[in-house]
Amino acid sequence: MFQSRGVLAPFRALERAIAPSTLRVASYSTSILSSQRPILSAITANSTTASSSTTLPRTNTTRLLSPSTPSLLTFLTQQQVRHASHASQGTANRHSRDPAGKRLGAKRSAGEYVVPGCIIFKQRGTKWWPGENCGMGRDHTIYSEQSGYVRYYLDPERHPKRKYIGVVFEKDGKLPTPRNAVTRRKLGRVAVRFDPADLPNRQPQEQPQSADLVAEITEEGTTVGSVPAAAVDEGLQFRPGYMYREANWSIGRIAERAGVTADVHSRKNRWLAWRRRQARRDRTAQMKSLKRQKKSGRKAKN
Amino acid sequence: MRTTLSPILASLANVFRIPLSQTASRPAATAALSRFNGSSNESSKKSTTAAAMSSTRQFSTTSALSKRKGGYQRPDRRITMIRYFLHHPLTPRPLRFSRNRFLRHWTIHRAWHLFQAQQRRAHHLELERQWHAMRAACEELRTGAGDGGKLFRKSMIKTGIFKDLFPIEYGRLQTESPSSEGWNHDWKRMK
Amino acid sequence: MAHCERASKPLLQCLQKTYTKGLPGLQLQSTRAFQTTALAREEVQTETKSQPFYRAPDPELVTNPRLERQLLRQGVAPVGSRRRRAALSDSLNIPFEQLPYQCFQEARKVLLADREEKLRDITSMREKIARLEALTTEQAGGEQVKKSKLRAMELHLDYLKVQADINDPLVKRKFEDGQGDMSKPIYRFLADRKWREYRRKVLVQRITQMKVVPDVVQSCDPTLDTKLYFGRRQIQPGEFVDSKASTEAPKLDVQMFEGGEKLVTIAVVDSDVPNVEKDSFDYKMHYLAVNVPISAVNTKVDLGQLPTDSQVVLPWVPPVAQKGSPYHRLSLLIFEQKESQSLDFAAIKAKEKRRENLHCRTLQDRYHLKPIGAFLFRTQWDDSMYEVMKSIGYPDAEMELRRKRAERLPYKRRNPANMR
Repeated sequence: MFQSRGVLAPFRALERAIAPSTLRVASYSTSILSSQRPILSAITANSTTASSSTTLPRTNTTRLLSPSTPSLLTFLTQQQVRHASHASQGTANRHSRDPAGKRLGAKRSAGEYVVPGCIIFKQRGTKWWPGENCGMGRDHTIYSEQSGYVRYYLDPERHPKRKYIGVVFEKDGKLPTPRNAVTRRKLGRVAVRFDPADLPNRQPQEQPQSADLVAEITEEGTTVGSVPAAAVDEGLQFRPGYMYREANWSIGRIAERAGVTADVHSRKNRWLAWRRRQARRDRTAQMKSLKRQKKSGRKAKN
Repeated sequence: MRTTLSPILASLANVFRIPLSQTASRPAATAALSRFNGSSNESSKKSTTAAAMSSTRQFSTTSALSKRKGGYQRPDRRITMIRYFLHHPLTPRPLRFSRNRFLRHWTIHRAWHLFQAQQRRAHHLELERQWHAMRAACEELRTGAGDGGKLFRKSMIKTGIFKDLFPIEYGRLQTESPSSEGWNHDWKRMK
Repeated sequence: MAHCERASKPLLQCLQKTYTKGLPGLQLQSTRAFQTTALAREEVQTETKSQPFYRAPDPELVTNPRLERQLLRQGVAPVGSRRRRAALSDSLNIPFEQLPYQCFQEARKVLLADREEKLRDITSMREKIARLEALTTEQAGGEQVKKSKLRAMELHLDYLKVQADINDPLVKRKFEDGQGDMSKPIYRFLADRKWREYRRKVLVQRITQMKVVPDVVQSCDPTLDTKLYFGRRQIQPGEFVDSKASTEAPKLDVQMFEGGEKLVTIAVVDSDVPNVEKDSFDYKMHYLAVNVPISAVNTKVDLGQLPTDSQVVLPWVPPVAQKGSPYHRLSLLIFEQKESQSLDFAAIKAKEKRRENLHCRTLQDRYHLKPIGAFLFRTQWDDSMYEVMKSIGYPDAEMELRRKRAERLPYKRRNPANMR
């Protein structure tokens, strides 16, 4: 039922469209259409009885009828539309579905020396877990937290199945350590003398001074500390960034010192808001027109 | 996008005010859905809107965040399920008692459990006693009957018990005791 | 529940008063074997009842505004709202056990019968134990056999004692009100169960996550509920304590859940003393006391008030943390002395003089100690730390610890031939 109707429909249209022109075509080019002749005749013969012949080679018909029947052409091309699912079959090697590699895997192998922050393993999900002196990043990347030597190990006492990555301090250190052994840690700090006068509660009568960060490079390494900032009254100071200027916080307080006060913004004051918006629009329009003038002026010059 | 939607889920969604993202790709399905929900939808709409006005705050801390991102987001499905089961009429209401009443309730509860435990224990002991008695009788039969244990051996032969006929006592469900009304003498076979 | 408890407490008291007064016959039937408090209350009742109500108004029942004012002038505030007091004074005052609910009364009968049975079991078990103790070792079948038998019997006796009372609603109520008598096994059992439900879990989590367990002691299975107070402030396990607050020795509230008395050793260890030369951490013993008696009823231990001539080996030193150093864990450990025998104080005092690097493991090995309680608080640099350091004469008060810059990995030149 379904099939017969589906097949029949194009023929009905065909019939309607062809009826005036078939005879003409047949009379024009008998030599070319010798192979198609019996079918065409069949069509013309069937046009009155409306019985279908299923063996119509459609492409040939279109080629044959294309110049004379544009409406029929569009109809037939609609029938032949290709859906997107079929189009993707075209590429042989599927470049679109084969993304670039993500460069996952071990970045440091077992026994290699690492420093804090050194990425040891990149992974999707937790194929490996962070063990001793290691941390795990937001994307499950394992990185070291101490300088030492990388170990890949299992720790059945901690978890029966997980694989761990750890960092030991000695070249021949072993992991996992026993559960009840004292944890091995490093201080990683140097002792530096500081001035107790800087402590906040030592001189409560003094004004709290702002401070700037400075780096100090010595033989042991670089230490970052704070130095007290100069007072505001002393004028411009040499600041990090190689310039003489005021401190940022004092720039931020200029308006306060100048006594500038701003009106309190009220959301309900739509009249003021409208005026401001209008002013802004006017200003924008003015700027735009100025720009246009400039451009046109330049063009005129050229 | 929800392409398949069982009618039960759809009606649940209707009850719990979950907006359905219906797409035009399946007009037949949506039409069927609306037909399915149609009758309850109109009647419940008024009441649910009133309820929604009162309960604008969801049971979630992320409501502000979702609001900031713009657009209404469907509440968490787990929350929906919790709400469903909590307010289901089959769910027993929580026990809210005054202190004395709670203590009374607790006393009764403990006593009931104690009583059950005692009964279980008594039953267990009784079974144990019976088992031992039977064992002692068999032993007596084996050693004290004076026939060299022949009778005992004969009685212990279990072959052929279930061969010709199924034991009649297994024909019905085994119970601890006979029924309370005993034998029904008025019973007649149905014609 | 707290509201309920508070609300029903006066009601209960009120009920008990009328109960003791009005129904002496019934009292005989249901008096608990070991409750002696009812008698005392009765005496008090008889004294106060001689006066009319307006002379000595009861703050729990007074409803008249004038009487209320009179009470307030005496410095006694009426309890609860006037509506509640009125309801209480109008109530029937039936004691809880006689409340006329059939199912409840039936349940009580079942529970009482069970209790009677348990009491009989207890007496028979006691007799059994006495009989076994009377036997000589040869008759009992050897030293070990007798010991293990006695131990099992005593455990069963404890179990029976708990089971006899565990279904009593009044015991439950008393425990919930915090009026349980810790000398009785049932209240100890309930307290232990409550402690294990939450507080012990938190404590164990803190001491394992902050690595007290492998760092200070090998293992610890806490069986004591320990609370720590600096001044009047209770410290939660693992909390940061202000340096000024910790200059004084803390007070302990050690709740034991077993009967009898125990002698314990209390130690406070700092396991994070920075050692810059070694680039690692040292230990320091901040406090050590031996032969401290604790029991289920005697729970308060003030570390600052213990006798220095018989118990305190190393007195309290305020914990300090240098500026810039990572936080210091101060772990308080309570060790059980072997078989609760007292240690030789003078010998320990002579031997343990150095606080630095005195490990708990060493002490455990030397004196056969077993950790039964633990606690943890932390210290870090704060505003008052410098003054505290100065006041105790800390030598490195003016030294600050700064992060060492980690050396970079050596630059590895890739093989250019490979790269091409």
